[in-house]
Amino acid sequence: MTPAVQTIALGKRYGRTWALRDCSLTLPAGRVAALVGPNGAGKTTLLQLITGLNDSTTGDVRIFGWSPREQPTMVLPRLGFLAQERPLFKGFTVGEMLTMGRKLNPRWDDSLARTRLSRLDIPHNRKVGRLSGGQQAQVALVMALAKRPEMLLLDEPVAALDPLARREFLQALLEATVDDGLTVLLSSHIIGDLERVCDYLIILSASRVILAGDIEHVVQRHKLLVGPRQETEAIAHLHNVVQATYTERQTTLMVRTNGHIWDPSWQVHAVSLEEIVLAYLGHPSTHEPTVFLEHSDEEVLA
Amino acid sequence: MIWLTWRQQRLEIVIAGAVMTLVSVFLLTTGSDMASAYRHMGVSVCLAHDASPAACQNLADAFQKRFSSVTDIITWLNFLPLVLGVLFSAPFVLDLEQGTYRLAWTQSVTRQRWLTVKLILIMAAATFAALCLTVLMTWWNTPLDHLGSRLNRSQFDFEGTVPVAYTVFAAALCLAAGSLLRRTVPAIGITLVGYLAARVGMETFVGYGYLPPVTKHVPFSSAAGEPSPPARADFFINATASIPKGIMRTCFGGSLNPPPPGSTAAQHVQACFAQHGVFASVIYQPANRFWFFQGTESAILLVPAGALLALAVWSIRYRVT
Repeated sequence: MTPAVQTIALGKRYGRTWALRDCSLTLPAGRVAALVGPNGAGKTTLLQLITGLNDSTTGDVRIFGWSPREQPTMVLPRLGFLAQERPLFKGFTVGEMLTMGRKLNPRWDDSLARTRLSRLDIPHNRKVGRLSGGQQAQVALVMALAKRPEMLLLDEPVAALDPLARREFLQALLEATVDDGLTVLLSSHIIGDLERVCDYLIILSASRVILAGDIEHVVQRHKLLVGPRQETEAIAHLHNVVQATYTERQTTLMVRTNGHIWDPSWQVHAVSLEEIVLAYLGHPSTHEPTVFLEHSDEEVLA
Repeated sequence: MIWLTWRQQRLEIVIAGAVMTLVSVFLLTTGSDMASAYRHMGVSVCLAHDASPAACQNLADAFQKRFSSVTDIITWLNFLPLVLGVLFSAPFVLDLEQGTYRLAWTQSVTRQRWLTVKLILIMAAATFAALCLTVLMTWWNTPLDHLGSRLNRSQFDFEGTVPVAYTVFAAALCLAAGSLLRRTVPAIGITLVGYLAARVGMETFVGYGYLPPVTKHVPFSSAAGEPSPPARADFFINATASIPKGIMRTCFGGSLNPPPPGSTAAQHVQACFAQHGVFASVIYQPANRFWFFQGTESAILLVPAGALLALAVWSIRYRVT
């Protein structure tokens, strides 16, 4: 099956600084992927390269096998995109936004849009600029979903929302992804929210992808090891140490395991997704190649 | 795409419509006043009677004096092509400034198509508005075109193809500046400066330098007043006569100062000059060059306008993300 997103050595340079560098990535279709990373890591750039808003400096990007810049008519109808600043025509009424969607999209689903909006109690004759931030985000999501896309791209969709609006938005997103087999790529730095919605993780740091894989598997593979103060060379020989912290008496390691930890001097703890992400972001190993943790790895291990 | 463009530009189209309506009302009322005065004051009859350039001068002066306040107001219409060009292109720049174009670009319509439809509609609307102005002003100018030359700037700039060219130039400049800067107010500022520079530059430094003026020698006596070009519709630039001092002394009655104008002595001077074969050189642009000048000036504006549009297209296609 053609992957939803495939990038090969993709890079984007502005002047002398790289916004995204050497990004090789495969996002299988049907996954709900979280794209996490600090501000300026290249999340927006990656999403813009996928939509064709931006053009790459190096490498190649394919969306369901097509190039967004060279075959926009094949890519655009398949994408629903919510840009970070949520651009909406503030002077349009909600009804006029729907008219625009209908006029510009061959696969537009007007009844889906109307049903969703009426469930949210958003009136059609209200100007978009007079809706609350949460409602505007919902309208933007409805616009993206009514395109009947095969992949939904969301750039920091909940960053500007209050906790209640954020929960409602993610709820609406979750509902939309359940039934359709829709691929979703969602960028955010609020990791707690992502765990509920996403099943795939991409960590982007300092303009490079450092980890990508199935979330369940990522969480399984990472362990927190606590033991007496000691050298870590033995463990680093078998497993990948992501982060090491030392106190006078104790050593704490975040480890990407490559099998069972046999050494009894270590206490092995499970870790949360948030801890894993923070460990990677805290110690970006800029020279190491990207780590892919797919289901297939699990089989190899077993 | 057409619906979206219309919806995004609706307010500005309404404003442009209102401006054009106001201008039309003003032109229609003053224009019909002027046309009827032109008939009733007997200017048209007089001119039909006597086609010589110097004929009916008193009537013509009276007519022009009566409507001088109106023609002064018409001068302000020089800004209208700028206003029209900016009104139609500003929403495009605002779309870029506010980032809302990204919404349109991530629908199923390609950037190429979005750009093509928008540019064609903007340019067509601006051209149409400028054509309306041209038609109105050409009708309004009818009496003035009979009285004098259409090559007068006050008429030339509002007739033929030049108003459309100025409007297209202003719109293209605003679109190019807006596509590069993605800021509306600076783009309009640049357009204002560029438009005024083009307009003032064309009038002050180019004049009608597209073709050298014609010089014609006329006997000094032939005209009652100042020597004038062969036809009323020709554009008079100036007239000179070089008179040898000896002849001057003879005709002025021994002095080098001319006798007071209007006196019988002054009439003798004319006859005396004619007797001695003194000629005046009249420099003018013939009326039949009107369309050549219109075409040249339009081309001078439209070629850069085309380049500016190409710049806008390039910027949208490759620079804007």
